[in-house]
Amino acid sequence: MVGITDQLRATKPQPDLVDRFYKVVEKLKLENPFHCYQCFKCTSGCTSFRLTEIMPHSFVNFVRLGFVEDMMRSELLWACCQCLKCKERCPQDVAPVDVIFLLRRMTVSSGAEIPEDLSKIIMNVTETGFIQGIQKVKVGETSVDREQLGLPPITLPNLEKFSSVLMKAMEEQIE
Amino acid sequence: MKVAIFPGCIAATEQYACELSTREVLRELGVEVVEVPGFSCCGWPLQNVGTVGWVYLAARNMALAAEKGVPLITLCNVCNRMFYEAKFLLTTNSELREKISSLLKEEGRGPLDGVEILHPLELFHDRIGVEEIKKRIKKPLKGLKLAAHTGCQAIRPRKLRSIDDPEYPKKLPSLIEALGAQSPHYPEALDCCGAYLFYTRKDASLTLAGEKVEAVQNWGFDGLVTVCSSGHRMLDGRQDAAATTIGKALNLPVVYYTQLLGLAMGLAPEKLGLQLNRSPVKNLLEKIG
Repeated sequence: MVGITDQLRATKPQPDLVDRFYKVVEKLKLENPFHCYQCFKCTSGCTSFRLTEIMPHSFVNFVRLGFVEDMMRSELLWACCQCLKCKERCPQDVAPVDVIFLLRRMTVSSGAEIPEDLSKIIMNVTETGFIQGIQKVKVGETSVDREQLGLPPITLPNLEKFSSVLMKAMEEQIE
Repeated sequence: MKVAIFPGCIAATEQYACELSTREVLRELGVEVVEVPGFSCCGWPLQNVGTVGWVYLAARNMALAAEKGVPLITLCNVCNRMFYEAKFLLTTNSELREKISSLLKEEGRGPLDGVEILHPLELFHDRIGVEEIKKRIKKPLKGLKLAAHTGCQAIRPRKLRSIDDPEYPKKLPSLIEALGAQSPHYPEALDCCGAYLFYTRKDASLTLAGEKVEAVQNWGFDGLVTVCSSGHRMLDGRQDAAATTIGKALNLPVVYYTQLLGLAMGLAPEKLGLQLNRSPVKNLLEKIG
């Protein structure tokens, strides 16, 4: 991730996005990122950091300084594994994971694309109720389904109604 | 006692051993399962794109169970957390609550409140109890050393609900020890399975799963025990892919706690869906005998 000195040279803070960000923080009763004092406890215990270089404290810091759009555009936004250790351990009760997820939602509502595989399962949920179709699974050389295993059938919701109400819910953006 | 089972996407569509073994052991323990038609995804993937959509999904599932008036057992840690998070948002945000209520009415769904969400660890450890489980054991798992994987989403954040200690979870190890096996703490006990990263950073996701399995294997455990269909899919279902990703040989038996409990209660492996596990559970079954 880019250092703060380079960041300050490259762009200016975005006050309108900061406003939008804090309005949602207030609405969803999220912990206030402004309380962060940059102790790095989140990053030092971050599951994803070692593999993807995501730094939760840095996300919080840039947002505190007003660089919301820059963080929304960061590819590392999608590198959080949501182990929730940062939220659990923060001595100031800030939840970097919630900051990251709020930024994801702001990005999406401003029209940005989301990772393909994630987009696929979201589509599946809206159309079929689940992230994927009901599958047959392999046992040795053959494949079996729920019924053959003695499991009761899955009774899906009325999909037409389900999809239309869900789409309506998804259009009601808070972010 | 009566309960409803919320399988979640992964157990409902793919991880059949999870639901199968849960139903078998509940029947054996005298817990009646009430069927609830119409469940959908808990809302998790939608949390990435907006708030109202995912809370609506969580709320509609809870409303379906509330109509039956029984506790809802979640077979996936993520679903458990989503339900608690939705409950929190619905009690602290009246604007959101109104929106969700009217959406629920549109789909013809009933009450917004009143369902009790139970994690399998709470059901087995707190409700049924370790002593009661000990009494039901016909085939003690003597001489086995099994690692517990409680999973991130079940125990964090503590503020939302406290299923177990978020830094040092003890319920799953004590439930494993109730079956006669040993389940000592290990340094990687809190390591993440990587499930959440699978849809955005596949390599990192499989690396997390692989390194977790490798660590457990290196400590000399006979197997790894899970309580979550998402985590199990990573550690068991994708163990081969994880081995390829990290370039190590992995051959660690991974079983659901309900499968292990069933075996100790004397149930047949096929009844518990052990033929569906992708990891080499044969090695473990041979040791159990």
